[in-house]
Amino acid sequence: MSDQNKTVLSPKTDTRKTEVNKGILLFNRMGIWVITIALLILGTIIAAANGGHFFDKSNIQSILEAVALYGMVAAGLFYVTYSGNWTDMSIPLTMAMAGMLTVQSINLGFPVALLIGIATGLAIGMINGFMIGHLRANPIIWSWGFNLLLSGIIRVGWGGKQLYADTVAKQTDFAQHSAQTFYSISRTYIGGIISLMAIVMLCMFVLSYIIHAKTSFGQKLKLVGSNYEAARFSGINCQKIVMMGYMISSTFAAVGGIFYTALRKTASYENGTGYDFTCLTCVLLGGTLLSGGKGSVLGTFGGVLAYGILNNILSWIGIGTYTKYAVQGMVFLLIVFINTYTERKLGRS
Amino acid sequence: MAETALALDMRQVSKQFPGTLAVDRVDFQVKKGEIHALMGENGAGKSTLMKVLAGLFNDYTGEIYINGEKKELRSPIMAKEAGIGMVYQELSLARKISIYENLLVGRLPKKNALFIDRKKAIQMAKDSLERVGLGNLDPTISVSEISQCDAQLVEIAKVLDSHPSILVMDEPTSSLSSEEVERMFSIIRKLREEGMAIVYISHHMQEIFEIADRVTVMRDGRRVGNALVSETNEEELVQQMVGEPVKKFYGESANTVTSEVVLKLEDFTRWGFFHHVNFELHKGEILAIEGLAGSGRTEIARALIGVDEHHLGKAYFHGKEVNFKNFGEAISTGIGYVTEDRKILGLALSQPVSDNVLSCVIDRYSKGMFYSNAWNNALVDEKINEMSVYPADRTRLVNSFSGGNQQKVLMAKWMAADVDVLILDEPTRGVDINAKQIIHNAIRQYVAQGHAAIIISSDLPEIVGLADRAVVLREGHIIGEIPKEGITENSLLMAANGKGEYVNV
Repeated sequence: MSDQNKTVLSPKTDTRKTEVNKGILLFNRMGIWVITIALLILGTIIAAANGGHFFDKSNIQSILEAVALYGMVAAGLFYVTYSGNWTDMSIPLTMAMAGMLTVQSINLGFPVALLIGIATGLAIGMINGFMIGHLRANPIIWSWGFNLLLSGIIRVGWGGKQLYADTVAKQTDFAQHSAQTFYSISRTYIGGIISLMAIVMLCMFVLSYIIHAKTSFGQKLKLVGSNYEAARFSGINCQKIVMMGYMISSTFAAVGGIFYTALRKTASYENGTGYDFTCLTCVLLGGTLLSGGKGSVLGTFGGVLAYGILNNILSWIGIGTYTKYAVQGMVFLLIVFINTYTERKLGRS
Repeated sequence: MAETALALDMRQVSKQFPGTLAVDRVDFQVKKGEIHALMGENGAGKSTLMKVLAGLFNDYTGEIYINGEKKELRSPIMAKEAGIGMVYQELSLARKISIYENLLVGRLPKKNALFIDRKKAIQMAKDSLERVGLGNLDPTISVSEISQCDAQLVEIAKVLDSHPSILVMDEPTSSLSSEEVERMFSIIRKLREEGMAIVYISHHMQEIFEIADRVTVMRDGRRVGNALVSETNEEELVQQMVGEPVKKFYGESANTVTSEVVLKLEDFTRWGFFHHVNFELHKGEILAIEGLAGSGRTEIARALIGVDEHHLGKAYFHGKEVNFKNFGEAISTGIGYVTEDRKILGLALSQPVSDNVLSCVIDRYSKGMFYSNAWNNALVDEKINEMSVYPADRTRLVNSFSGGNQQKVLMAKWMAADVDVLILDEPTRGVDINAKQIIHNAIRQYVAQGHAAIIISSDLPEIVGLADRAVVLREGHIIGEIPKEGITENSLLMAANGKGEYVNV
């Protein structure tokens, strides 16, 4: 009998080894800065070989301007990816719609028009967030479909026409002045050097960083993104948290859309084309896991810079637009592969 | 006993897992035309023994004879060729494709190199269905359109198609209603008449006495009983399953129960899951909800904390009626629920310990909209030290801990939540004995501090060691209550099966 008692008491040791690979973890956190520095060095060499200076004032300016719009959108899109919903496919038409409505309401004065544009993003984010957060619609399929619907609404609503702020504006000083102010936001240089767009992008990254790292929402989103069910069984209102993530994302995208429209001087359903994959590339480059719960705003910023530098290098080499598409596609797929690979190595919930 | 009459003869079979001998020199014989029940508590080794038979392990020791011939069952294919047919609890049918395609998977008759002979396939399927009494079923409809019972029978038909001489059925009735069970039994009896040897695994005593000829009982990896069903009785089987009381692992608990009611359920009902549930929980008490898996014990907890709805009845917390719309409300009111599956429902495995331990208290420690885990590092350290989490490093990712330590992190999370009433669902499933002891001590201490706990567990010694009182749940109804003096593994098992002195319905 004593022998039998011993069997009962013999420890059932858990022998599974689940050590996390520290190298992979470090690469996941810091890798983007290594890539950024490598690209900077590569850029310097290539620029020099082409008889130019990579760290030239005008080149730095053009990099910053180019990444400003991507950055604004990526700073928000980060929240969708981080929440475990992969990406928001309605980014392009969110940007386009915000631009359309801003231009359409330019007669109310620039500040009001700006607010209307931002509110557009907020509203789109609420709808996406409600469908995906509350009703658990498939995030990709839903947002892709919603993108198509928005595109249809713009084409039907404005008869397929493009909008120009100065023609929409009435012939009054106030309205014309609003239109000119609107155009100027993408053409203002603070101290004559740094573009206002870049400053706005930096501010949005700071805001995004604070939301992510310093608020209770950010902390809850981390848990929702890592393990939705575990977060639910910790008393977190997951539906509300996911919805807020979408609202931030779409609002940021709307701001990007407004600046984009001002830069092109044209509001159209085409504004924002390509931003879905470009911005997702930036977010993933920054080390955010495609399935959520891991990543940082700072990393995303690094991802945006690296992407901008890469594009800059491509123009130094002087390759054509079509080749550029191919390179961008390859970079995107490579990043997705690396992302999935690290994820497997890091071990998921 | 003539050798030839034995369909299956397992001699001195053992199977070792790292750190534990799951099956320890077991002899197991089944005659042709016999229904042989295999019984034992969770972890007794009966499923491991059957997995050996199914060829899932290639490192078992001992000899296995099938129809008098020595066989090696080192892979599932070898087992199938040796004539072993396994019917598992979870169906292996593809729900969206038709019955005949399911039945004939891998051996669909062909007209020629390209096309399948559909007519012949349907006829073949009809023949197999005939054997399990489903001759009237149209084999072209999809599995998702037929009832659970029929699907179970189709599964059996599929196994029978490989012409096994031994059929192993693991809890085949667990999801069937009583009429369906009767139907299933008549099929099983018919197969017995055809000379099939049947191994029948079940937790339900009644079923064993109704259908089986012989019963083998396992405990702690050993065979502890073997008798003709006609020569044994329920008390004897329960005694064998439970064994000699394993004691002193659980130290005497200080009785901290008071008369103050902290939680009261009145007529609490979720149709189809649990009905008219009434009980009271007192301050300083550990109350067990005892019942078989599927009795509705987890569902009561989920409805109480607002994760699932309830249709009828009221819950009172400290005398005030509560009706939570979500779990967050329940926690802030003071009711916590430690989920049964730590990996899926309990922890964010890819995050560090501190994020997990503090996941219930983000709102409590927020300052306006701002929050940082770093503000509560001291609390995290205190709780993981209390639970002896090893290594005690709050920055370490949870998925790098062993199962036992993960469970301790989960407990630390709920200790940090500091709720009044904690419901623990299988708090020590799959953890080592050391972690178990730490978790049990933590539960005791927590209750002694003036809180209360409800424990739901399939681990009977755990309930015996911890509970101050047990309410017995069977098929969604509370059918009795066992006071502390009366709680033994024996009385719990009898009561969960609807038998014994504590059952009063």
